[in-house]
Amino acid sequence: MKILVTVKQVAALDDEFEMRDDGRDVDEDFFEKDLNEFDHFSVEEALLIKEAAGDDTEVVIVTIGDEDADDALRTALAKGADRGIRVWDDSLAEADGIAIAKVLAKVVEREKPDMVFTGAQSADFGSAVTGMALAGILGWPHAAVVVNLEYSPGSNTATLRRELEGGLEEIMTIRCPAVLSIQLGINEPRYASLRGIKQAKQKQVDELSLDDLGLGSDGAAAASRVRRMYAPEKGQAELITGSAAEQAARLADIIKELRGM
Amino acid sequence: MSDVARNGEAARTKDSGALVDRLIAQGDPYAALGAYTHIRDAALEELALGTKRQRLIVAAAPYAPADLLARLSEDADAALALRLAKNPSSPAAALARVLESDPSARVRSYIAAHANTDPPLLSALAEDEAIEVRRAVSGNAATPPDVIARLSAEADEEIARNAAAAPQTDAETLLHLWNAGDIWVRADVAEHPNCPPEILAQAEAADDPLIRRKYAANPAVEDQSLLPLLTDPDERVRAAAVRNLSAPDDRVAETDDPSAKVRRLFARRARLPEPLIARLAADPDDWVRRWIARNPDAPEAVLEDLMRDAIPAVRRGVSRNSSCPPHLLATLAADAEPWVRAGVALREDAPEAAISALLDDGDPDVLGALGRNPATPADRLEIISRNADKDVRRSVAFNPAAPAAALATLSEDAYPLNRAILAGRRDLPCDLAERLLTDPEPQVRFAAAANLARAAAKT
Repeated sequence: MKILVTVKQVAALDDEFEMRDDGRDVDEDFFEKDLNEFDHFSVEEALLIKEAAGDDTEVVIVTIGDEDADDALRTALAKGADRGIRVWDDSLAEADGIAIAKVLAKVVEREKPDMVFTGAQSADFGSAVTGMALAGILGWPHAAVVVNLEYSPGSNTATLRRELEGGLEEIMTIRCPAVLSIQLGINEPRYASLRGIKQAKQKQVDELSLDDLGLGSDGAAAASRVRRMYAPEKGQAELITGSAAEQAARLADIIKELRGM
Repeated sequence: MSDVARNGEAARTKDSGALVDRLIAQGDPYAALGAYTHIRDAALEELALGTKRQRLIVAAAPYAPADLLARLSEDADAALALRLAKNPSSPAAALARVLESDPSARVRSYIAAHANTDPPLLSALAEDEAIEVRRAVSGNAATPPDVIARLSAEADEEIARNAAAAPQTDAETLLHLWNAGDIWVRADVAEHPNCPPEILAQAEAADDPLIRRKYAANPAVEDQSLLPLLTDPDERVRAAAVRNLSAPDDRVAETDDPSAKVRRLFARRARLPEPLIARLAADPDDWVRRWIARNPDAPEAVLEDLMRDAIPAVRRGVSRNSSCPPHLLATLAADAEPWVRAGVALREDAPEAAISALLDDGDPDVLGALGRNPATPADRLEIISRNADKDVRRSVAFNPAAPAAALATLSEDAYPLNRAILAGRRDLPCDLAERLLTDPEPQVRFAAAANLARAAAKT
């Protein structure tokens, strides 16, 4: 029995930040990197299933990223996951959710897990697409925004509850293996013990390239490209006071300013 | 290298030198920054400010030493200048240096509002071309009265409000603001301790309750003038007068305000006459009874009655009352409500029997309170430091009487905040501080290094 949990090292921006010279991302001097908040919950859910089932269940953490992403991987391992996989190739530097899902699908084919958990979304880009795309590529069932899960390792189905719009919730049974996108609040994530943090340094982490997964550098091409990233200007409001004539005159000035006259 | 760092390096002791060598070998900028708070050393400075990312973090950190912020101001680019201007710990010299670099109006505004900006600099900023900078100067408590007066001549609502609220504004300026300002400006003038008598007289008789309320809140108004306001038709005016009374003595003994909000304020006051305390203790509003239950002037008989109140929060108030006698605390230790028992468990002066009765309590609030209490036996503190609840465990980190074994347990606590609080204890044993130097959390390493550096700097 194996549960694969995908995690991401995300960027947490400073209050004040500057953009990169190419204007397509934030300058990395202005953010910290950390394990995606949603992934704390998906890792915890896997660990709870493992602990309830006993030692026969293996929790494998997978991330896609350069050496910096090892911190996120080790954080998950320190909580009690069994081993990790990190995939990287420089051609993935601008990967979007679809490209990431293509790589993850190859990892799933290699690992053959009984269940895959992803976070409901990443805290930095918030696309919420990776889990859905992964399930689509694999042809597996998928459920998003899962807030409760009843699943016993080896079972052919899982029963889950997920959030819908308008405060509604939906209870559904899903065929396994499946990809589940886990929502915040499904559990109370644990903190890694100091012993766990030390042990995590010794745990097995497989570093794979795209070639190892049978993907060429164009096998995980992004489906989209960031053209520009920027902080939009804040809107302004002005209370127009004075007599009716003064208000009309000011309104006319504003219209002229906006039209560049 | 800054002058302070050069001087500090020369004065370095053998022990602090060993600590610095260790931290440099460790290569951790956060530990280096922590140690730098007590040991001014060039190598530590270099490590703490080694990368652009580190310089940005330090420039924005309120806990960064002032002379390190001054060092950063020597060659600050726009990003550093903004952080230094916003950092409440930036010293006057750093702010002045940032200003010399011709920063944006936004940065100038932060400097104009900064508590450490020198008055001469504020005087210069009061002439700034940007209105937002001049507004910030008008709201700065360090701005000289003559500058406030000069700014008040501008027809700007925000400056007028800032000037009317500034404690250093003089009577002449307040008179101008009263005559020229809107209702909100006049209200702040009426509350100002420097408000001239002729305006106070107008405010006292004003039709607008906002003006009367602010007058009632003016700390310069004496009790004799406040007492008539206790019958004002507006409850907010009466409330302001109750808050402002210096001595609510027998003259208020017969007060029976129809507003529960006003009675609550009475119940919080010290030196109330006994008849009023007795009447408030029987008030139908439970918030009034809660405040009387906490009032140190409440006599024992009143506390004994309130100890049997149906509302748990009232009984909790009795347990937290510094005048509550030991035998009442002993009774409250057996209360059915955990929040009430927790109130007793917090009491260092609780009788031994009361503490003993609580030691086997399983409620997290009670255990957390016992964990903070220096009167709790050491063996119990050790047990609490291993509790399953991280918040209960943390209580021991705050306890000045925590035994070494409990501190050692907390140094391996899985919850980072518990280790961070432990690392900040001034009495932390050196062996634990050294262990925490390699903690995974930067703030723990910072505090542990600061702790060791403080001790080393003394030797």
